[in-house]
Amino acid sequence: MTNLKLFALANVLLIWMTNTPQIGSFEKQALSSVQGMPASNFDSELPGRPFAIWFNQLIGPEAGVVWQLTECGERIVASDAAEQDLPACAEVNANLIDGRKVFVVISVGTFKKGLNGKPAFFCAVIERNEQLYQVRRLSDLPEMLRALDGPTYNQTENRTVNPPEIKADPVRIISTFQAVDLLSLFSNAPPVTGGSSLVETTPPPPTSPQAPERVSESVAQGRAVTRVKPVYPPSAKKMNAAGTVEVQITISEEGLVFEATAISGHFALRSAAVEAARKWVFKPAIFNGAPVKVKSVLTFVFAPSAK
Amino acid sequence: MNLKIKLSAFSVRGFLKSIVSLSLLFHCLNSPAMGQAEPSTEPGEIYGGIELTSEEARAIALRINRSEEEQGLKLVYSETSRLALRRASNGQFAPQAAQEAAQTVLKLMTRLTRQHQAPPERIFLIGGSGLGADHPEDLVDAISKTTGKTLAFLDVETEIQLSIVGTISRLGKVGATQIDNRNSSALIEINSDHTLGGYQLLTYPPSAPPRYDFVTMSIPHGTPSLANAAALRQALRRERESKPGLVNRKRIYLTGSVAWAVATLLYPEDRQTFVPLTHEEIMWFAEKVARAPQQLLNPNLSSIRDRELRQKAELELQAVKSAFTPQQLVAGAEALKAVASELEWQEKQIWFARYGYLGRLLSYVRLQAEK
Repeated sequence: MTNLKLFALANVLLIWMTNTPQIGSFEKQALSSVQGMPASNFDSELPGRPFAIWFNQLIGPEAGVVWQLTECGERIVASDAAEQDLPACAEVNANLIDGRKVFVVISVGTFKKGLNGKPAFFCAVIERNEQLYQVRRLSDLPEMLRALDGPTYNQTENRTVNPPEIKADPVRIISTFQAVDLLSLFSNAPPVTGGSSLVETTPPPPTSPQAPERVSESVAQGRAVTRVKPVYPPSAKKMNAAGTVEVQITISEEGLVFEATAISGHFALRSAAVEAARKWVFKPAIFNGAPVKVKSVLTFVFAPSAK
Repeated sequence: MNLKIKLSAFSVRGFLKSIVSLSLLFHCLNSPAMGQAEPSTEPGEIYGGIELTSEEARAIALRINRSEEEQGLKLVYSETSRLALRRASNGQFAPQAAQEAAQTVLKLMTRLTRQHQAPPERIFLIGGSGLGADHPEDLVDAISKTTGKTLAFLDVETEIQLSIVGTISRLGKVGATQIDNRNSSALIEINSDHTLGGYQLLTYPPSAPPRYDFVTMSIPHGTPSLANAAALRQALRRERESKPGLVNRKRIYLTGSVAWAVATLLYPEDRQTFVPLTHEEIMWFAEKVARAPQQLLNPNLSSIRDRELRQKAELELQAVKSAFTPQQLVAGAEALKAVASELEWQEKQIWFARYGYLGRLLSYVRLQAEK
């Protein structure tokens, strides 16, 4: 009887796990599916190249592109309110070097059911001069990007350039005071690139920091896998040397100490501390999903009792 | 368990539509003029803002320049004063508490008008949602009588939206490339008694043009305790079901007192506006503080060579110690750990936004200045 219950429970769990996609894996599946799908699948007028390649060629190599899984459309509410589901879309948004943004949204399924049916074009939007322009067909996107080109564009120019092609009504999303170059007045602002007047501060660090990141000693200690105590040098013992020695270390991507320099402490104790520090092993530090070098400090105490 | 969940997804205050592209102002916060009076020779108008919460009064002065040549704005002053605006069991503030708050507001207003030349009509007062949805009359009256100003109350959803706009910049850099930062990031604020958060979302209504919306969450969890951290986990699981961006967004901006304590204790020497943190550090911190809180509360600052930096770190450390008992820190770290694991921060970029506590006030004042 107990076995039967366990069997039933296992089955319920299995069904539940199968029906509830983990968002991380669902996202990976959805994005790779959309990226690799021929663009012509989303609009028959487009070429058969993979969608991601077609899109990247359209926006240019200097555009900043973000792919993500996002909610789109209205909520799907079942009879039981607790069972409501949300349509899921793969969204690619590109920040063009002239300040425009392009969003393309492809429906892929729902957040509870995961990939469901064939991915289909859902919507595209161009944001320009703080206005949103809806693109109803994916094959209209290149044309609209051309029509809305140039930083000096305005409504009058638009009418003279190509009025019939622009079927999207601009949606005012922000007020006139927004288009201010904030950075120009800030004394310690980072340099603006790309010539956009809407550039702001950039907290996110680069994907691969060139200089090793610094971590505090407490963090480094917490990540140590192998700790090695220094040997109290006989020469130091004769000198009655004691106290703390701080060793600045650089930890490799593999978690090994490959640089160690004593930065404080009695000179008779420093080499012993450095030698010990070089033998420490740490869990690799992960940054942006990849192991990176980090710097830290190890403090060794040479107490008289430990002599 | 006194957990209450307020679901507020996909709802937007109308006026907030006009500020979806308000800019992050924090890069001006390192201005040497911060917290000091300085003679004004720069063009532009000064606007002031004061925000009251149950624990603090925050004041800022913004210089806004609308000239054709040099449009822009700059934070020229900010100050925070401690308050004790907790309500009694009868729902009222203690008379002296309301009066003290009014006096604090008067002091800050005087500083804004005299030292920073902010005209009184350009100073705006807001009350945080934690002061009460009933807009307590005793507090409003005390402030009105003392300062002549009316306190405008924010609801929690508006607060979150203003915080998102004021904390997360529209654009960010990955290497040399600029990306759409705000539409791919989320804000999480973890305080001692509530967890808030949300993100900006471009939505595509079937019968209306696309527009920017905000998805928000608010989870009050009462006095910090491990039991409340468990309840927080349950609440977060419900929130993530209906707000998948809380899990999907790859960049997380952390604000609130708990995040401040964690960043300060882990990296006392790091004075950056945005302090990078990792999921592993958050987990490590929660475990370490549960085992040896005193050790974490007393980090070795002697390795900070720069004397001025060390003094700043010492002051910040003292502020953390006065704000948190070890037990509160344990519970706060547990709340942060719960958020990090339930919202799957393992592979995300996480930053503590040092000036995130000013985000909504900055956004609010700028919004008023545009009217």
